[in-house]
Amino acid sequence: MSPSALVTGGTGGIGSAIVRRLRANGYEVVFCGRDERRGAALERQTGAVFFRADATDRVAVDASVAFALERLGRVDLFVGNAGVIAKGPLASTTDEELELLVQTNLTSTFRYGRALFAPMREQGGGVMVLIASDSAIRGSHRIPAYSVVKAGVVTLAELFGAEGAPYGIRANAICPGNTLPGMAGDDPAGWRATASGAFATAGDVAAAVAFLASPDAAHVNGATLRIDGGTGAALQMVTRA
Amino acid sequence: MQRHADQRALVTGGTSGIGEAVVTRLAADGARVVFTGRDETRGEAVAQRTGARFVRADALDPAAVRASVGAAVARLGGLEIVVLNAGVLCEATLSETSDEEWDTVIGTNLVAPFRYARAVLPALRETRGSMVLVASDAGVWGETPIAAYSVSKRMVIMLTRMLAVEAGPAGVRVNAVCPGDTEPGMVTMVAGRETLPDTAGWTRPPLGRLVHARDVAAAVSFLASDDARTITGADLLIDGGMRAALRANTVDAERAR
Repeated sequence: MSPSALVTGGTGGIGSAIVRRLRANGYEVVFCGRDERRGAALERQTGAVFFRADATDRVAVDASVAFALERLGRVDLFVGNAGVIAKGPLASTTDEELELLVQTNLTSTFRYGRALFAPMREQGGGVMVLIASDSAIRGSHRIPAYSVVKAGVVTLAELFGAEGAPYGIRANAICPGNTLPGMAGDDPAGWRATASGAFATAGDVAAAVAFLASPDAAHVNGATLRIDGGTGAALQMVTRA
Repeated sequence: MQRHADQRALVTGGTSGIGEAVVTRLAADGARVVFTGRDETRGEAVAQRTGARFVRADALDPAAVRASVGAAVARLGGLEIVVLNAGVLCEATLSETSDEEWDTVIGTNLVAPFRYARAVLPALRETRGSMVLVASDAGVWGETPIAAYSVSKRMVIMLTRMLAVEAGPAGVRVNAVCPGDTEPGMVTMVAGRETLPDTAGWTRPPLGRLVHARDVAAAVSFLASDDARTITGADLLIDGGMRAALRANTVDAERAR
């Protein structure tokens, strides 16, 4: 029987790469997103099933989980990838920007994980892979509010992993550095490459998802995996004139 | 001379527990203190005892956040010290946490300090003052029985770092304290809890006793003082040595699957 997966934010750069990779690895996939046109295109290309859902819409989130369980019979893998970014100083970050970050990146990830926890427990296990960010580990001063919220996503992975461990549920966080295509879209202008001199690719992130979801990672739980070309291995100071 | 003589301080969540101890300590250090909270009876009692000024404010209410900062600045004429302490605990694992509990914990422990920090930064830039955020040891290592709380406090630590980077060039310092189980503190005042829990059987840190709220207040007083003038973006554990003694979450071999 093919394993099955639910992927959020599946119409974006990293998300669509994850959907493609999981399909190539033989998964049955339901993916969520807001963009119907991109969703339909990816559906045609990959045979994955698109469910339109805005991660900030709690009714839609619950409906997408119910749809995935109904359609797939079970969800072996949840990939929490839906996310938005906000740039600029905290002092000029608005309530609305922070609320959108919290609802999209953090609360929806919590709600998906919670909704899938009981079904995974009942089926004898499952895997959650949460897409955080390298900025979640030590913070990135150009995207401070995003860094704060992604630190919460890493903690979600640790605590779902700790709570789920007795039931065969594993949860891990992936922390990509600047990725193309990803939060920057397809255009790297204004973004910095990783220490390797290149950007991470969405395919690199998808490959890490595939590994963490696989039996090869059966004892990897509550871990944080940086996919950043070494950027976070040694740090540069932020200095200002 | 008193450590904080003639300084002006705002403390959120000052009506009980760690916040009350911080108000008491800063007032004893010579600061003029305005503190917020939801409970008017307790607020007035703390005000009477310490000479600090109580302003009723629910941290979840954005208008109350703005109004209480405005009231503190108007009353005191400026601010050298801000202590963001207001917070709530939720005793539940992630899978057991309701939407309502999640929203309250994230709103109170993350979004409210963010709003307070943003609102007080202009005043602190004027005085090259400092801010202390009350996080938790659960923000340093996650604790499954208080999961949403752990998530929120991890974010408070990152918020502290990001604020420190942003405000540093203006001479403003921002630090976090990470208390372990504190009496009186979160462990003794969970919402809906009628009586104090018996902590006799609790795991003790190496020092053999729980943290006292005044221990946390002492650390806050230090971090807000000129003695700490080069310390910013730090997260200071006040845990009686708990981190050094943490045991990994293993299962006995006899019970292994």
